[in-house]
Amino acid sequence: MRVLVTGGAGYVGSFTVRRLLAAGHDVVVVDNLSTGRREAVQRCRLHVVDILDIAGMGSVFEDFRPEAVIHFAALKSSEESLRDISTYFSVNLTGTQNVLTLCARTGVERFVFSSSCAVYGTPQICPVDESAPVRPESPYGETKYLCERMIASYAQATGMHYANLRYFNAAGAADDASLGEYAGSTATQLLPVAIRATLGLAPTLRIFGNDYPTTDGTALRDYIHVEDLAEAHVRVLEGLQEGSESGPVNLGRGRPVSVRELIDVLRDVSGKETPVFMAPRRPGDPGLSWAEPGLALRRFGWRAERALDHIVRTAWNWHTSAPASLE
Amino acid sequence: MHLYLLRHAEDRSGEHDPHQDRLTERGRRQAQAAAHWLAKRRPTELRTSVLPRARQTADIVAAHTGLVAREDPRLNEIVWASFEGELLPHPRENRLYPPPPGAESWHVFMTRVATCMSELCHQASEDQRIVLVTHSGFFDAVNELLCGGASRVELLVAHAGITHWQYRPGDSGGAWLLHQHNVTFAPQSLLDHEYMSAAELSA
Repeated sequence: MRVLVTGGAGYVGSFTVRRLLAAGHDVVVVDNLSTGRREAVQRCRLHVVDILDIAGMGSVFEDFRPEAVIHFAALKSSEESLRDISTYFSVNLTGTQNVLTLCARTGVERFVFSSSCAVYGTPQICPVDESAPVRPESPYGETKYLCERMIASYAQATGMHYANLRYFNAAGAADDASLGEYAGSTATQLLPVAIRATLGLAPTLRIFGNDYPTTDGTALRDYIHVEDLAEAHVRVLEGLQEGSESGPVNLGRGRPVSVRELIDVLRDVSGKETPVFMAPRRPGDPGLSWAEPGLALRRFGWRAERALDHIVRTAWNWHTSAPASLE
Repeated sequence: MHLYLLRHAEDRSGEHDPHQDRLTERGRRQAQAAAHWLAKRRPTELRTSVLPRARQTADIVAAHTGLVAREDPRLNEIVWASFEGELLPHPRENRLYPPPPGAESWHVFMTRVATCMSELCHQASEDQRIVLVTHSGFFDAVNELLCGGASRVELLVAHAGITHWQYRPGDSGGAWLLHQHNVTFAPQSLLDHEYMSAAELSA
């Protein structure tokens, strides 16, 4: 299948591209390389184009005539979106609308969207399933939900099959440490930030909130290995070929893990203590968030296979072997 | 996992004499009727709000079921009062803005309820039948958390009314099944288990 991947040089995008190629698909990547890395995309064509550049994007669509699009390209920080609402609405909404316009114009049949558990917001009774009422708490979460609605409207008009994949917390790296996450000094993702502190590249790991009503007082999240996520994209894309019903699909392990538990596993993997500093809760941070992943299994035969220690071990191996990934 | 939400029985309003029962005589009979009905469901666990009207209701359920009532302050009613006598809007109309000192916003209250319910789900098993002795706000919060709709729907819950939810993870028909809402009994009809609506009871 001819698959166009926007944001394919990013973290989840680059793993998905690898899987698509391994499955025999013909892949073209579009990425503006604002956070994506050229070296993360090998063995397929990369066009350095911004999704806001509809003319540039149009050329790629006309030349490649994709049968399917996987749309990752977006800004992805809840925290940053609170400070820069306009940019988030512009890139995430206008960018997605551009991609959808070109899909409609060129007859794309399948569309897989990189959505987020941020659409659920808080409070929620966990595990959350796809039918839970949405309550996004940040402009980022709002844009993801609005994109989902926009995709549904375009799909209704064009007959395109689609899936809005709501990821929980992507983490981990390739088993052979050949690919992983690039988490710069402003990154907020817990695992790379914890690894940075463990390696002495930051004075401490700040834990936001130890007074949540959870077993050890720290927040609960659902961490999922990036390889499992990538596998899910391929399964879903191929499953949509068979004409399954379109809509949102959770991608998580369905297992809540506290911040403290994650740090304990990191200590076991690294043999080092992570210096921590307890900070107050951050506004907008959900105290607990984990998925009910049953729909992905029932509809696409997918479930996360990789355990928490595998997530932590591969992330540790990646960041220690590629120091640039933390710069 | 089956959850039986039981609202506390009728209590004495206003100033309270600490040497006197918090529940009225009618409230005690309501609690006994509810406890009798619950005991037939063979509950496996009993948790209660720490507020006296709930705690005393739970004690009656404990006596009928042989269970030990475990206190959980997350089952308490929303704290919604102004100590300065300020007239407050309904808490569901004041969802995110800072509440008066010492009070909880509806958002904070919902977060407390969600945490409590999520913890139960995390530890859930098929054969669990848990009684939660709580307050009317908790019923509304659970309904809103599961069904959405903000404050469009308010639930009527009688004193000692019971709402029966079932959590069935992975069920394609819906993870949550509402079996019954606001089940109440006339205290004198303990033997025939006659259902009565809240309107009939209050008449």
